[in-house]
Amino acid sequence: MAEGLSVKPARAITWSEVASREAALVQRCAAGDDDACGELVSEHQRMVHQLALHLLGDYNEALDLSQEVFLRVFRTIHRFRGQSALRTWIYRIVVNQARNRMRWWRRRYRAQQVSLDEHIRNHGDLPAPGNPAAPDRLFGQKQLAARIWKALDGLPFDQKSAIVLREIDGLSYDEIAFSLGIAVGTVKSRLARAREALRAQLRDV
Amino acid sequence: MTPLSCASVRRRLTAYHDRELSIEQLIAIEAHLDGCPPCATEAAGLETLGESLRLAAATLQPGTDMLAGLQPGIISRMKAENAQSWRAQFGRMFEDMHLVWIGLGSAMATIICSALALACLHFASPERDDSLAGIIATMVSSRANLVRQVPADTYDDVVGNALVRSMSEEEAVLALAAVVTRDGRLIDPRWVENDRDRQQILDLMSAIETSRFDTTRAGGASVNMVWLFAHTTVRGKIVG
Ligand SMILES: [Zn+2]
Repeated sequence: MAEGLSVKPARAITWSEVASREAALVQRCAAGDDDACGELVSEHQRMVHQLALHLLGDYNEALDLSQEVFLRVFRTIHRFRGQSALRTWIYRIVVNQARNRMRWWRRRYRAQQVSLDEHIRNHGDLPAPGNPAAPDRLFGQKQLAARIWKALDGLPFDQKSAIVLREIDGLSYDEIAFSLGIAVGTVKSRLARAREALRAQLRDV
Repeated sequence: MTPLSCASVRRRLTAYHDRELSIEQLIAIEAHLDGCPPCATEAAGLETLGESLRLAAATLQPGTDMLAGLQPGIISRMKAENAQSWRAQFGRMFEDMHLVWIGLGSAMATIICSALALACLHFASPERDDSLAGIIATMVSSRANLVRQVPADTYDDVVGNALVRSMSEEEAVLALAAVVTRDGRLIDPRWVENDRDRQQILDLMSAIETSRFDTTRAGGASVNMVWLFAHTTVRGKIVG
């Protein structure tokens, strides 16, 4: 069987137009253009905040982390050489910053681990208005979501980040490998372990 | 295309789910799943897990207003950091300037000192004739002026002979015992002969005592270094 052809997610598009626009934006940011930096933030803030939220499980922590991520992006953007899509490069920074923060957290609050139920209770807002779902179904969804977050939170950070990047953010193995700074083989084994653990915990879902 | 076994499908199921297979493999697995409920259930389980995770993520969607402050916050922090880094850079520069001033000051002081020293050497008279070094130099350079060295117990005869030899109408040769100070003065001069006019000698003595031991003005005094403290012969013109 031929191995040459493979299907990549649609996100991996590298239209030269998009790439050159991105390259121009990166150059302007590297030159210290505030407008360009603002543009870059606007384009990626949702993605950054969501990934941070999924990895940390707290809105305000995620917001704080997002700010750190973008500051880090602008401090190091002159080093961005287009070795990946800008999006993947930013993902990598988010994951690294989140990992550092988790380590710091764990050292600091080893004893008092905050449960995700609590996070959901504190921050779990209703989905965006206009959702046609009935209230009881919404309640069921919230309950389910809380269970899923609890299960996710029980995973080691490396497995959690791999499964989040794959299933929620839709990154390819290559992109996950770049974002986590690991080999594609390691991505596969981490995903396999994460899925196994999650399915064991959510057997009845 | 050979049909795949359940085992080989299970091995590739996650890659199939993650769309990381080649088109041929994808088609082969789909074909297998169509006809194999256990493998299809396994694949559906992966799909359900993925959907659950996306659903859970959807419940955590932050409102747009939540991110409203993010961009201005980042830009203002960047500006502040840049300003601070500029300030820090300036600070470092001034710290450096402090050292540079010290360095420059030292260098300038060295240059000025060197210049002054050179100027002193340049403008100073080569050597004062009445300085001890001058006297010695004169003495060394003009051997003719060298005073004969006389042992203490025989100087009367020697000085007497020299006196007779160098006597002229304008000149008088006296044998004196005195000490020459560093600045060229004679201290405690005593004449060692009595046969001259006493008053004339006293005048001369007082003149010597009040004047400096100046070789040029004294008409070429010679000092023997070795006998400096024991025997110094002053040969001067008697004025008046
Ligand atoms: Zn099968």
